[in-house]
Amino acid sequence: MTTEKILLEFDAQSKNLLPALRKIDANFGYIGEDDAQKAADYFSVPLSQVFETASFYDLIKTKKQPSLVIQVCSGANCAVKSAYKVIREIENQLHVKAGDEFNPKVKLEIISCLGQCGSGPVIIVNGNVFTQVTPNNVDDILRNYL
Amino acid sequence: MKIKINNKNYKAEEGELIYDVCKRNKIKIPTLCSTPKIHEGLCRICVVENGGRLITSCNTKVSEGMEIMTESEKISKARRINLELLWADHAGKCVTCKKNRRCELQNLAEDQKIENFHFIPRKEEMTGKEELDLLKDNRSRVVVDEGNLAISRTTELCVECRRCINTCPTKEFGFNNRAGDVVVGTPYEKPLDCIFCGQCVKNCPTGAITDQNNLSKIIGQLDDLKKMAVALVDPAILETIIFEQPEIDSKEKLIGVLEAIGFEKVFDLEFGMELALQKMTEQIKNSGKNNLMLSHCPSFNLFIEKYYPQFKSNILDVDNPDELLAEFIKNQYASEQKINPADIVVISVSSCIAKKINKSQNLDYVITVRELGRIIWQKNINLKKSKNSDFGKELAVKDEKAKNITRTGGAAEIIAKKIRAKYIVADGVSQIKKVLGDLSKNRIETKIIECMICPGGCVKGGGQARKL
Amino acid sequence: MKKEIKIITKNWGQINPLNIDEYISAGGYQALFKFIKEMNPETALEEIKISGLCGRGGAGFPTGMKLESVQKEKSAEKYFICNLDESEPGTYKDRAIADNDPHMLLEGVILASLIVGAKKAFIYINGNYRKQIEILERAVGQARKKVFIGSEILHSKYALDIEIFAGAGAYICGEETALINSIEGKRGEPRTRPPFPTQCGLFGQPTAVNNAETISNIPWIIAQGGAAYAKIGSKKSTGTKLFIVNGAVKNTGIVELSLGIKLKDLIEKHAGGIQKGKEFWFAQIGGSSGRLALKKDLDMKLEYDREAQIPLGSGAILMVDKTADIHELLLSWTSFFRRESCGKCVPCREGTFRLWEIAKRLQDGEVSERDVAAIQDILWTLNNTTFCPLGKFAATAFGDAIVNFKTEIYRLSR
Repeated sequence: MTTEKILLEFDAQSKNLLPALRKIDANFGYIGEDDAQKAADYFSVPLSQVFETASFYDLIKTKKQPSLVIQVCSGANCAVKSAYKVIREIENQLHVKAGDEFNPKVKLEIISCLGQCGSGPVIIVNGNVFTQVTPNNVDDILRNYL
Repeated sequence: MKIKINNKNYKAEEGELIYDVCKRNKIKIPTLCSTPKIHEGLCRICVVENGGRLITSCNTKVSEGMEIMTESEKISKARRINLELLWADHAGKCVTCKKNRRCELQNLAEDQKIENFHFIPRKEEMTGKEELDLLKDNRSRVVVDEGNLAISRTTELCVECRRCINTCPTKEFGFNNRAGDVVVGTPYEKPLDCIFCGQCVKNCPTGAITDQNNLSKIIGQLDDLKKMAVALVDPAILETIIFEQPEIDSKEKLIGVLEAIGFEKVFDLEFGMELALQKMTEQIKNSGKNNLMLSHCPSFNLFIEKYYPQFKSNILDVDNPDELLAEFIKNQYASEQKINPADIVVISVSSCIAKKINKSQNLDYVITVRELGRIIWQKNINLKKSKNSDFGKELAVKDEKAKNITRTGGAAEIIAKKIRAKYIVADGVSQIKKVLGDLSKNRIETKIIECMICPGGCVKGGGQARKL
Repeated sequence: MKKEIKIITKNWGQINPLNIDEYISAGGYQALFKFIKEMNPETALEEIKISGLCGRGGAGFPTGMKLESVQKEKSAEKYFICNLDESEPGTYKDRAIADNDPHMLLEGVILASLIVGAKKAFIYINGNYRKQIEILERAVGQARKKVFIGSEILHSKYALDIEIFAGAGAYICGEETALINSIEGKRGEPRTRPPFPTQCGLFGQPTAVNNAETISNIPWIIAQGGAAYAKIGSKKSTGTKLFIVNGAVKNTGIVELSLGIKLKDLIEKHAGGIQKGKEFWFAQIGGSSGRLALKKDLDMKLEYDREAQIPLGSGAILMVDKTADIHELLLSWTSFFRRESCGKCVPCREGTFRLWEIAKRLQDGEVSERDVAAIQDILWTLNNTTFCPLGKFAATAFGDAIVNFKTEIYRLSR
């Protein structure tokens, strides 16, 4: 799907800017400068507004993501069930630091509550949700992605 | 309506902001993020106390019977802590900063007597691991943009006041990312490539956005005995040089100081303005076309190039006054005085920052009022003892009215009067956009169009200093 | 034990949530029929005011009052927004409503919109709730087919269009004005108040924003009457509430109970009591922005009370036992607000960041005298000088912990 086709699905009204940006992001994995400019022209807003809006939200990325993205919930409910120990375990296994944006292959992100508090700790690997993760079963999950 | 400020009664109108009522009555309230037109209440420095609660005076309207205190223990504590939080990113950086001594954050910190290292560990207190983390954290979010000839940016010194975002007429900047990762910058951190009007540089309270300059090179030229340094003084700068150096309160004093810092000759830019007006008048008289646009605003020329290239041919083919005067100096003046033009360095002291962009053969440097202030400080001139002086008589100005081109509409008025023609004036980008829109739809038919990017004209240019 | 009345969870597990006919057979959309046939916006509003219903998102604002201020506005263009952004950690009750009975929520949205005079309603839903977004879109389609939504609802003069708007991941967008900015295609930053959203909200028009659980109560109130609703719950706050209990209890999950129940009763009688072998330390009430209830607070009533020391908030209750790592909790709380602050005002943007740095130093035992003073100053400025209430939320749990658990927190530091 091209960006133009995606934009044409929406009326050029301000309430459609965020949904359109999300759809472009879902399609390409991120919104690059060219696509942001197309959206800016379509909705008649400055490029600076498109970028400042896109970069505000967690679910929209403004640069290409690494091939392996692991997100771990650190909400209090998951924290009391050892979410931080899961984070430490992943850091040790993959030799990455949580929050490091400069590794081109792997990103370990700490994210906010997903509303799955009953089945925490929760991690998302490349968009797939895993629940009741422990420091012991983390390597089983990661094995499929390495 | 009646309200109480610091236990005294004051009159106020419906819809007035607390800050404005206080200002009217000469009650001082410090601010950081507000500009004359936009008050978002971001910095929380302008807080006042109302019924035990702290509210921001810049964006809260008065109400009947309101009781406000503008100074209290709570208010002082709020200002102190919030300034100390801002200072955590600035601690230890003043000495090498271009805005040292001209920084609003420094002034506020001094007024409120804050402790600069409150929220950041001093070097001796940090462990090795911490120091690295802190450095990485800081560095990872710093964006530096030195990619153009007029404006220099570094987000390391930014206090996220949003003044640049709010005063930029072409919306170059955005408030990017979220929370502590917020960066005031361009989309995708593209190098700035705008019309360089400089309103952002003028309004920035800290050293985050500054004039792009090569002051050490310029001072080198001033000190070089083999070079003849010539200063062109834009009449507009006389209005604001006092904000840089309060002792420079007259034209004669300024010229004397310029000579003291190393200029051999100081000329009135009005001479160049006369040349520009003459040439523009000629071209308009001899042209059969209508809707001709005056060319002395360099920012406007960039604006047309970037956004309305279809009107490029409407712009007169006349250089701006600084370039014309520099050309005159390196040709006619140099040959008359029998000086080798290669030995002359022409430096224009201007209220305009966009003039830095043009690469001119004859005009060597353009510096803003701020930069002049810094050179004067660096050269440690004793301003009380400096002698008065006058402009070089070789280039005497004939028409005293030529300096009116520093105000919007001034040039068009002078030219139109001479050749009895109709004219339109557009002040600021929104008016300009409207005029160009009407022009595109053939709704305008006039002889002369004057468009000034900086609202108010060159006297309000991006190169002017501001009262801090 | 008296049988608890079920208002919101009445159909949960009893009907197929996406079978609108099953919902109707169970009494669904009767309130809408009643409204169209026998009532008008003013009489319906009166029932809501009598019911004493107040906001279930956490603020506890009287719903009748909010709807009334929008109803009173003379504007042709008004909006109703159902707030399903639900990003408070530990809270997933609105998600459960969308999963188990989307039509009850829809019926509430329709009624509330017609009461305020809105012709367009948005359901602003957490962008992570992908499954629930699909469920609600299908439910809206089904309601449209039955003419419960459209240009002539049930052949009456009422018109309403409902749009599902997915959030894009920002906790602050649960705040009314930030939510409105988000729909308008901007950064989700809160706005200055006044003006209030009820006068100047979405696109500058009168707008009512209500939490999904609050709205789900409206069909029952319209059908049975406000007076009947007012008989349930406590004097301070009427009706029932979805409580979410998690942590060191035997039975975790969502339970609907009358407001006013004591914390200790909720734990013992409905959550099975504390897990075997564990010792109660504290309970965080209302999510990560909530206060910490200690042993002495176990007698407290769980209700919406403006003067309460420990507000109920979203109704999430996290039971923490003595084996919990207080430093990891401090890190969880501070990193949440450090990430979710919108960034526009100095005290919150800088304060949440520095507090998080201090939490990291506390974990490593590398805290100095300077940090101890810094904590007090940061908490003070977050509580007193921020642009919006998120600053206060960021200071709450940390502040309670520093006061009550000083020894445990500093045990690693010199």
